[in-house]
Amino acid sequence: MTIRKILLLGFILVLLAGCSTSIGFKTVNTTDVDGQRAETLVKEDKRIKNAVILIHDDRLIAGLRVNTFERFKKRKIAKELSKELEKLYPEMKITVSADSKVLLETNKLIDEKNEKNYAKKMKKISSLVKEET
Amino acid sequence: MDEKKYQQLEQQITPKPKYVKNCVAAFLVGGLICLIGQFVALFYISFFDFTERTASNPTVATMIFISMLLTGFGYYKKIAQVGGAGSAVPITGFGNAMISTAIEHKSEGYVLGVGGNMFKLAGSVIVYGVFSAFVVALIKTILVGLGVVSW
Repeated sequence: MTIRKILLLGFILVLLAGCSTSIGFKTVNTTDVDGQRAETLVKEDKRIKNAVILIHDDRLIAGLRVNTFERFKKRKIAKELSKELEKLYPEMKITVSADSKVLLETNKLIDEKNEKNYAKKMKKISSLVKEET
Repeated sequence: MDEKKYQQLEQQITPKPKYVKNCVAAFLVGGLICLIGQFVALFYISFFDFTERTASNPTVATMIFISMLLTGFGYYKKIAQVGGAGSAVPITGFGNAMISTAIEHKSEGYVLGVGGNMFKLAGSVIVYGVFSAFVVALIKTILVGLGVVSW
């Protein structure tokens, strides 16, 4: 096989691999509060294609992935959603972010299924979002 | 042969630059560099405590470092020959401009040669960058002060 064919094959593979990631909508709730309301709120928003919501103790973390061309407004979308969630759960510390780091880390945390780690790791994710530099 | 005739002759002989082909090559090479940069950013996001917003700083540093190494080993000029502006406009061109002048003027000594010439081209880039950032920040500060926009 010539190098040109290998390069073309690699190019196509990379291109197709980009289409396969999908987390969908996921909610994990370890508390007694109603987590369904948060999920429906996120699901009803047409601008969001993936979301992971984790509710534990007094913290709620929502990692979002917005549609490709809404990315320019992703911080505004996260801010709007954060305000609405604060209205729904006034007694909770809420972190909403459209940054892919939050989505990845929250998803990883849920997949680990180790509830002892939740409080510590969630605190870390919230502090990461506030980081400026 | 007078001046006008010479100019006509010159225009006939000069080969026409292939604008379309150059543009496509620059687009592809520049895009490829940015693709590599995206992978580096993804690496920092998934394995270190960087978010999408903060990962840009280490990514830029890594890309400059890679282009400096490539320049030193003589591979970057081959990329530049194909890519043209596509290899000069991304941040990798900055590393190339610094190291290539440093290598060129090494024979004049380390202080007056390397040190004095290293920032010949990159220095103006830094000065213009800092100054234009200052002007933009000033305009935004005034607009926020007047209440037209918010931060």
